[in-house]
Amino acid sequence: MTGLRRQPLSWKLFAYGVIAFFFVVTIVPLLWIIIGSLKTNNELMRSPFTLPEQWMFSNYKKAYLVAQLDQLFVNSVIVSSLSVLLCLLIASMAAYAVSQGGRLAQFVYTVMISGIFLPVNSLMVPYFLISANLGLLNTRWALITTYTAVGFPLSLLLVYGFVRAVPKEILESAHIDGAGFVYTYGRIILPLIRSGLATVAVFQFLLCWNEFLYALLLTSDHEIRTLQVGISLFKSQFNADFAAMFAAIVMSIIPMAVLFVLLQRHVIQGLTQGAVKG
Amino acid sequence: MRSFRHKTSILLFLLPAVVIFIVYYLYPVGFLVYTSFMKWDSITPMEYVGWANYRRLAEDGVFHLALRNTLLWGLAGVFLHIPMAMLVAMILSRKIAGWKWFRSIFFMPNLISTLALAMLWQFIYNGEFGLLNEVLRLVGLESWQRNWLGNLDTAFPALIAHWIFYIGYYMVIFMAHISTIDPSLYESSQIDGAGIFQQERHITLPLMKPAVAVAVLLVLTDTLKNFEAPFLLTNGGPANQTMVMSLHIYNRMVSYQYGYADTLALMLVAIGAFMVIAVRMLFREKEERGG
Amino acid sequence: MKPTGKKRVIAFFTLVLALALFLQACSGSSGNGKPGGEDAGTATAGGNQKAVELTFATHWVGEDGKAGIVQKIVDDFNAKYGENARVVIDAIPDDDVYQDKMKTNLATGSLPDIFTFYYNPVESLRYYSSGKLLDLVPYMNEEWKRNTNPDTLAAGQYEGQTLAVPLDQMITPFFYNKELFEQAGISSFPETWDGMIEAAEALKSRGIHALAMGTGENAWSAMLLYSYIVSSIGGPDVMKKGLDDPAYAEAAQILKNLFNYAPNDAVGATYQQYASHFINERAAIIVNGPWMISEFPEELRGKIGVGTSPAAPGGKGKQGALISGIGWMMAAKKQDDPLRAEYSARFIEFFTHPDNAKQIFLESGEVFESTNYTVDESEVDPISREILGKLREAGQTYDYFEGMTSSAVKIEFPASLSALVLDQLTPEKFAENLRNANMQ
Repeated sequence: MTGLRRQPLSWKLFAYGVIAFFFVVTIVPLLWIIIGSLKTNNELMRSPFTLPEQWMFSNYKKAYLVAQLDQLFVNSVIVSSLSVLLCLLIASMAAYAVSQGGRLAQFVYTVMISGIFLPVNSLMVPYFLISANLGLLNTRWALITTYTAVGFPLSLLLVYGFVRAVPKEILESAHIDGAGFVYTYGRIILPLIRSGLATVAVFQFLLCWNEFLYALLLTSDHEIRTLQVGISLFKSQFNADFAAMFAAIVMSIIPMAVLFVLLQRHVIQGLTQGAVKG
Repeated sequence: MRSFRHKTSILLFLLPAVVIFIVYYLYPVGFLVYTSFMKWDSITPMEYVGWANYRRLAEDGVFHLALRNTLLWGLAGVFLHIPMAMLVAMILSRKIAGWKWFRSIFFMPNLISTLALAMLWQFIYNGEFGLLNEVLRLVGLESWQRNWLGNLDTAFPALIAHWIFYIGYYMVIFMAHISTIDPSLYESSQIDGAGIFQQERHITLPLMKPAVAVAVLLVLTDTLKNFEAPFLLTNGGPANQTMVMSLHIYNRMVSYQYGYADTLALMLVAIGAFMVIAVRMLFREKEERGG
Repeated sequence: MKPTGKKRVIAFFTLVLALALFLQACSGSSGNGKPGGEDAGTATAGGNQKAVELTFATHWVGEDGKAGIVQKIVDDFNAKYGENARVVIDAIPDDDVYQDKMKTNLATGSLPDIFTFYYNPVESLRYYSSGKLLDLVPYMNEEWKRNTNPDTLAAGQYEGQTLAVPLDQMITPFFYNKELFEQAGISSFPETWDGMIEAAEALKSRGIHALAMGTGENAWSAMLLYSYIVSSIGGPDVMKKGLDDPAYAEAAQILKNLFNYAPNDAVGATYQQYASHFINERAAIIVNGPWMISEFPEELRGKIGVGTSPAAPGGKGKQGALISGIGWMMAAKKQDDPLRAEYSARFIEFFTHPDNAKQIFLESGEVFESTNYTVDESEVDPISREILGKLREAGQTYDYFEGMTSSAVKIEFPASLSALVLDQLTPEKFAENLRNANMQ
């Protein structure tokens, strides 16, 4: 894209104006909650805009204990990670199979892809009963299997694009060398679609991490509870102490934010590639 | 022999995917259809009631509101959220100072918990001590203060507003797409005297069409699933003004009205299908017209 | 080449599987996965004797006033029966979420071993008739029978079985801030609804909101207030007779008027928000139960007065009445394993034992209805004492609306209430909506 040379003032004003607007809308609420979390509850309600009279770092200590954030994080990480692994495995296997298959396989592929547009929130009742009948209710596996199923069509779509991009010559020469189906999959295809797998991993991880409805429906035990469900319970756990609740909210956001700052190149790259291929 | 083994391998590799699809997609939709003809509280056996649930749809005022809101949210997504994302994407793609930082900052809200954001905005909108009212007071617009989430006219717009400006997700997708556009196109048009606004209109926009098509589909299906925000911020109120389909289904479920809940769910699936078909048709037309 | 390739893929699969199973093993899923629930963690204590592990799901955890005493009771039980049984608490801090969870658990037959539910003539029947609850009659020995009050036990009885035991007597008076009343020149708690409006006006002129309530969630406090108004008009038994009485519409009008004296965020306010207005002394009155006492900060406690129901002109309810009824019930899941069944029943017996009931009362102010115990009133905190005193003086006791109607009505109430307050519904239409919801 053209650089900054000779950009007219009207453009600059317009561009920065727009950016400033979105910046304010994004940053101000976050700033407000951080400052609010350091006030006393009374002060928070009286004067939302001032800096804290006393810096109540004790709010954070209380919030951490009451909210049991460590447990929440561990659960979300476990559920998300396992679901990502499962999803990558199943989607890549299916994508490879379809790419090797004939018209029937193509048809099956198209049907499965259509699942992307199914609003999964409408499947509350059946999903609940499926997990119940499989004996998975109130275990992490209820979420892992459900999330894998929910993210599967999109994952399949993305991975398939990458699989098809593998040059035919490589596959043919492997076949001539005597490579079998599974071998080709494991040692040739998988390494070549690494960036595609990374893309899917990003999408699927985000899906799992932020999911709320099914986490609410399918689990209850506080040992299994994911972060999102935990956050929704803050208002009951911090009965009238808003400041501590703000602290809990801030703490619940920080890890993702930090992780993102550290990995942003990869995350955005993943989304970018997925968008281009998809 | 080899061909047979090959075919078996294909089948085996497809198997897990197919099993998942049947269990989590085909069976549930079938289940929805089946139970939509039943009255069922999930404890006692199902009772066949024919078209009664469907007739109830016609009389159910809450369903009408939920339907209206769900559709409105989708429209807001398509006609407000996406254009804003496109705008910011186009601006940042021009690599103004600090564009990489802005890209990260704008993407951040889409990353962190939607619930946390919702809770945050509940406090911003609060009628007694919320941030928004406080800001209005400071700029002298005290008359504009109100109980945003408890007011019939402002509740739903406020609900949408807390989400609509966080355009990071689609912005990144658009920026990715724009980055694949050949820079020489811009250079040559600049030589021809085209200003920045003209360049964007005639080069960037048309080339973004495929990405926009995908984004439109994604945002539509995404807004259909809305649950967290209405659940937490307003619980569908006031007077069901912010009710959405997912929440209505959930409420029926905890009222032991599983049969009717599934009928509503089936309607949601139908809306989803309808939207996909509509968008597909619209965008195919545009392509044919050489847009 | 070929063998090693395949081996690597298989190795990878097995690694993932192993990792997953390993995590599952130490995931501590409290074994309510299978509908039967029989494999729910039996902690091995070596040899033939295995200590049975039971899950007690409750929302009396964390910041709740009873969290401390409940944990203590569980610990005492484990100490007493340790070799044979252990009870583990499954914490679900939100009251509403807890109730919804128990409902869905009932639907799928995945109830926890021991749990609680709100007594409600309509909803509780679902639990009883499901056949999934443990009949406690075989386990009620002489001592247990002696300690219980047979009248209240009736609420948990169904077709000759005793399927649940009532826990607390839910009393929900008006808590009011005496200091704020003084500032507004109000000398005593209003005795009529007109008097209530006058008092509210006086408070308003001083910039104080009269009533802390909201329409968010299940509009709990507003619902209790509504119960008072309805009963004061229609009499203490009005809610036992369905939703047709004109009292419901009349009461709606009064409730609507009272919302003019609620905080600005009342429409849509959650419990956390409106309770905080009362606690921060911006609102003078809140209708709630003794469990709230533990939320009052020290400075506030001395200012709390307990108010009783105002009377309605020509109404059948008496001034001074209080809402009082059966609150929570405790029940156990039906088990095939006789040991699990027995210790579940023992836990219920232990929890409702007079000594423990007395402890709960002293710590939280909640009266346990089903067991007989005596309390020296000087041990009780002043607010609870005043509540009990007012209860004794009360000529009548009222029911509370949510406790007498179905889940569908519980969901309809806040929606219709916000519509009523915002002039979208007439009081008659409000009552009609509730009636319709009840019939679904």
